[in-house]
Amino acid sequence: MAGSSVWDGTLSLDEFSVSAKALVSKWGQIDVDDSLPDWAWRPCCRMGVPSETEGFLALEGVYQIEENNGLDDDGGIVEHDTWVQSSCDNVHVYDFHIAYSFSYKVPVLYFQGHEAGGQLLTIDDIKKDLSSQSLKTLSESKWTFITREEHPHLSLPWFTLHPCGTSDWMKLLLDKLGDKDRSLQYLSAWLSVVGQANTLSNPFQFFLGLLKDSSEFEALGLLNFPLTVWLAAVSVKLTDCQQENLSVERDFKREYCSSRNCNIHFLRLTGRPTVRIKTLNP
Amino acid sequence: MAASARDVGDATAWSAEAARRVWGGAIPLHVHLHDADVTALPPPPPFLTLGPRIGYLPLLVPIIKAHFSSTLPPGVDTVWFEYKGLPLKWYIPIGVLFDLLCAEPERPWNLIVHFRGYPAEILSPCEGEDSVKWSYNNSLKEAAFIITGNSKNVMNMSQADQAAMWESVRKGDMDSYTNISTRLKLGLFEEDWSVATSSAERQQGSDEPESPGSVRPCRVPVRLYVRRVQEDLEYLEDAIAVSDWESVSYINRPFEIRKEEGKSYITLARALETLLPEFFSSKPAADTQPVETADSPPDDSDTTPRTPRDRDPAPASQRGADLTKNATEVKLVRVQGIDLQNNMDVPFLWMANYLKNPECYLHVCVYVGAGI
Repeated sequence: MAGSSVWDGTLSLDEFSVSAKALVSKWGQIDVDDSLPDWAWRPCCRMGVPSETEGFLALEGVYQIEENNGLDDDGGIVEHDTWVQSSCDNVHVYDFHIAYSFSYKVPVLYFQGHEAGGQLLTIDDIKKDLSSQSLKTLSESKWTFITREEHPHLSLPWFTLHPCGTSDWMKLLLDKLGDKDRSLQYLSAWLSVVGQANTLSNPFQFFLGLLKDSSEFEALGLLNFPLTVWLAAVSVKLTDCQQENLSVERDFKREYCSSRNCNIHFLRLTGRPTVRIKTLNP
Repeated sequence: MAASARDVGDATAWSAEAARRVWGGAIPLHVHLHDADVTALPPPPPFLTLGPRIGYLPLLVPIIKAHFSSTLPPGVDTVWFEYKGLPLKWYIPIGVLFDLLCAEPERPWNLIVHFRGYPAEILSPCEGEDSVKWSYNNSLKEAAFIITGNSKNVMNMSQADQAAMWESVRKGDMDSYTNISTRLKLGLFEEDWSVATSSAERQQGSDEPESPGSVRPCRVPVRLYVRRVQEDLEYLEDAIAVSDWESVSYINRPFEIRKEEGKSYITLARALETLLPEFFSSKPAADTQPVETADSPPDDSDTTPRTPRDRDPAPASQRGADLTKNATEVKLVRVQGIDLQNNMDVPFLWMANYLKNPECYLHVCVYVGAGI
C-alpha cells in the first residue's frame, strides 16, 4: 500500500516493465493450443545501444485467414486440426506491439497487418478481418478508435488505438486492487479490453467469453464493478486450461459462439495455428 | 541565479519578442517538381515560397499545385515532399524539419515535391489540410494531458474556438492564437516556481518524503529528434545527409521534475541530462562504478583512456568540464533555428514557454556523433 489513495489509472515505466514481464509469462502458460506466437520483450535501441529499462512487447506473425470457399463454411464447427492448403492471397499476418506512452503514462497498442506477399493492409482490409463485435465496439466506444501514427520505436506509421482515454477506463477496471497487484495485472486486464477492438486473438478474451458476454463486461467495468472477482475467476480458469485444453476450447466455442452468433474455427497453417472467428450474421 | 525572478520580470518584453519571432520565422523554400511528374516540356521552373517555421508542408500544397498545375499528369494527386532522397514527415513542423535535416542551413531550401507514388510504408497517409489539423489537435491534446493531467480543456473546446485556433495557426496569427489558447488554461511554466516553492516547503518541513498523490510534478511537453552524424564530424556542412528515418531517433517524452528537485533553476543542460542520459549525463553510472574501486577486479581493460576527472564525483563547478567531455559526442543542439550547444545554461522552462510551437510542444534537435 503506497499512500496514494487516489489512483489515476496510469502506470510508470517501471510498472509497465513489471506488468510486461507478468503478461509474457502468463501468456506462455495459457496458450490455448500451445503454438500461438508468444509475446517477447524488445529493448529499445538508441544509436545502437539497447536500453536496460525501455522497450516494447511484440507478438508477431499472428495469422488470420479470410473466408474461403475451400473451407468448411456451412456453420459447422471445424475440427481442431484441420489443415488448410496454403493459398497466399487469403492469409493476413498481423504484428502487435505494446509500447509505453510517456505522455499518457499508459500502454499503447500498435499493430499492422500484411498479406503473405508483404503488401501492407489498409484500414479497410483490416476492418474486414474484424469480428462484427469488434466493429461494434469500435463504432460505439468513445475510447477505442484506430488511427495511424508513428511507431515510437520504429519510426514508421503503424495502426494504433488512441490512448487518450485509457487511464480513465483502467482506473475503473483496477481501482480495487492494491498497488502491487495492479502492476502485475495491468497489461493483461488492459489487453482484455483492447483486444476486443482488435483482431488480436487474445486468450484472455476467450475466458472473458466463457464467463461473461463482453458487452456486459464493458458495462460492468465502466460501472466500477469489482473486477477483482473477475480476475480471480480468470486465474482459476487459466490453471484448468493447462490440463484441459480441448475441453476448454469446446466450452469456449459453445459459450462464445452462442453469445455472439458466430463460429470459431481453430486452423493450422504452415505450422502456426490461428483462431478464426466467423460471424454468421454479418 | 538569485536574481532570476527579477531578470524574468525585466525580460518579459524580450520573451514576448522571442515568441513573436518564432511565429514570424519562415524558411525560404525552392520547390522542384519531381521529374516523373513532369508531363510538359520544357519542365516548369521551381517554385519559390516561404514555409513558416510553425507551419506544415501540406498546407503549402494549394499554392504549389497552382504553380505546377499546367504540367501535372491527370489523375488523383497524393502529394509528398522529399529532401535529398528522404521523404519528409508532414506532421513535423517545417522549422523542425529544416533544423534537423539541414545541418548547415541551406537557403533557399531545395525540396522536391511529388504528386504521385506516395511512400505509404514510410509516411502516414495525408489527406491534405484535414490530416494536418487532426494531427495538430492530437498533439495539442497530448500536450494538455502532459501539462494538466487530462485533455478536458482541449476536448471541450467549442467548435468555433477549435476552428479559430486552427485558422490562427494556419495563418501564423499569434494574437488570435493567444486569445483562444489562454482559455485552455495551459498557462506558462513559472520561471522561478522552484525558488518560490522550495522556500515555502522548507517551512513545512523539507525532509518530508514525497507523496505522489499530493505533489504534482511539473511536466513539460518535449519532442526530441536525435540525429546521428559522423563521429569525427568537424564542420556541420560535412554532415552526411539523412538518407532514412532510421538514423533519427524520435523521442516524444515529457520532461518531468518534482518540486523537491527544483532547488536550482533548470538549465537546458539539466533537462537534456534527464531526457538523454546516454549523451548528456555528467557522470554515467556505468563509467564511474568500475573506476571508483580502482583496486577491484581485472576487467578494467577499458579504464585506461579515462581522465582523472572521471574518478571524482563531479562537484557542481565542474559540470561545465563534463559537458566539454561530452561535446565530442553531442555535436549540435538546435531549437527554432538557434544553435545552443555552447549555451547550455539557457533556462529550460523559459524555452518551453517562448520557443514552443503552437501545439505547446518544445521541439529540440540534437546531433550526436556515432559510428555510421
